[in-house]
Amino acid sequence: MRRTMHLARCATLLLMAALSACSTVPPWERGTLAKPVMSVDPPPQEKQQKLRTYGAKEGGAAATGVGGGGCGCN
Amino acid sequence: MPPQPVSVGADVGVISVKSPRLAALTAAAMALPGLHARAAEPGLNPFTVDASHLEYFESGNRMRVRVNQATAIAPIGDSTQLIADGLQDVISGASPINNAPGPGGQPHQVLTGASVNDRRNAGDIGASLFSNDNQITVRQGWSSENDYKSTWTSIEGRHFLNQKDTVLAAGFAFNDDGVSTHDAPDDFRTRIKRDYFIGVTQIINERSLIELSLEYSYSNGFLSDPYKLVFVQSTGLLPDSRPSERRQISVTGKYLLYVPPIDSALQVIQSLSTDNWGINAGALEVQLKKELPGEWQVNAGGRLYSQSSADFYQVLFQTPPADGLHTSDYRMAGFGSASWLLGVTKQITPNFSLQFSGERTYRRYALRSGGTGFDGDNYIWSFYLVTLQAQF
Repeated sequence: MRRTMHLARCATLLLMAALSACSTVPPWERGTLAKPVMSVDPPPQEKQQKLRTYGAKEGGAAATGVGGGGCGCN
Repeated sequence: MPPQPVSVGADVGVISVKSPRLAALTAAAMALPGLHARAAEPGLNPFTVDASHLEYFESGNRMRVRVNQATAIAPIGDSTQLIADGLQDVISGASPINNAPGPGGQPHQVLTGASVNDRRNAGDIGASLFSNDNQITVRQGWSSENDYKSTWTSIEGRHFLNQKDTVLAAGFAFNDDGVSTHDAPDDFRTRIKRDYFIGVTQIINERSLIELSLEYSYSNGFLSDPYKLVFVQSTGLLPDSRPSERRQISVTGKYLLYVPPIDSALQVIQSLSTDNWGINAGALEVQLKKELPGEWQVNAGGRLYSQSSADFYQVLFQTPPADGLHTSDYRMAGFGSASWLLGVTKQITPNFSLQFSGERTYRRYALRSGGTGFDGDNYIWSFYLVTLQAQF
């Protein structure tokens, strides 16, 4: 439980640090951000297959969003 | 003086796009940080279909999986998307069952032989509703194979603020699974999982953004693997036995930076997780993504992963543990892996694109972050995925 609390504290500090460093970017300056290479996730099917493979072959977890069914992967 | 913003604050998808240049400006103005445009703006992509084929295989003639999948997204008006997704897996090959002492007492891995042969059908339907500053997605899914059945429901919401510089996300998923074996195919045992997710995506400046996410999962029920065994020196082989509850917590950070001198985006993803089984894990992925002339895009990078072993894991057991919990599953061992990643996308026409992605992973005991395991579990796995995307 202590480790979990420590992890949560670190995440909160990271979040606060990230948000405090930000400034508003007006829409007319978002050309670069709109490029396909600036997408944080791959296309949905690729993301789904990658996460399913990691989930079947690794014991750890990642915060990647909800959704997706179980399977008896070997 | 900068041009006036075209559409911020307007309903997504209500703009009539007259020219490619205006379309590009519109897309830029409406860009939601880190999201695929068509994932958030149904009006710009009236109807989309993705069809893909995946080949997964492991070294040593172990598991081989072939997956065919199709996804359709159909907007209804300006503020609703309907989603339907279906896939079929064909699984064959050999899978590790247990470890056993070999010559000199050295452990070795025992495989099933090429006896695993299964087929999984899965699908889900869902809907997304959009408004100025909110998006909510509900999905209902099913998965069925001979010895595993799953029903799941998820709901995920997003809220856009600060002129869409910031996206807050929260979600919940409920999985109701049943696990049986080939020997007793009708004896399904229940496994329930609940996932709670929160996240924030933030534009830092005009060429970088960050996403931070936190997820908590609680599973209970039959969490053992019915096909795995453990070797106990004093008694012989026993069935895999794990705790009936699992609590996992994970954080993931994603950072994207556009680097003008090389006209490319650098992406760094870091995940950390811990659970009450004693598994602590971390993953670091770095990729470089670049657009090339002729509507090509390439990405290449690597991923490092490491975990410690579960508290109840041992390669071989001398005597049965007093608490009755024991596993020798190679996924519960201490190990790590190194991967390379590659992707190529070609926009064939305005309506069609073809995408290839591949990954090759080298699993190594030496890369563990704690606990125990052994080199006999090392192997290599790879997958290749080809996706045809169409929009009309």
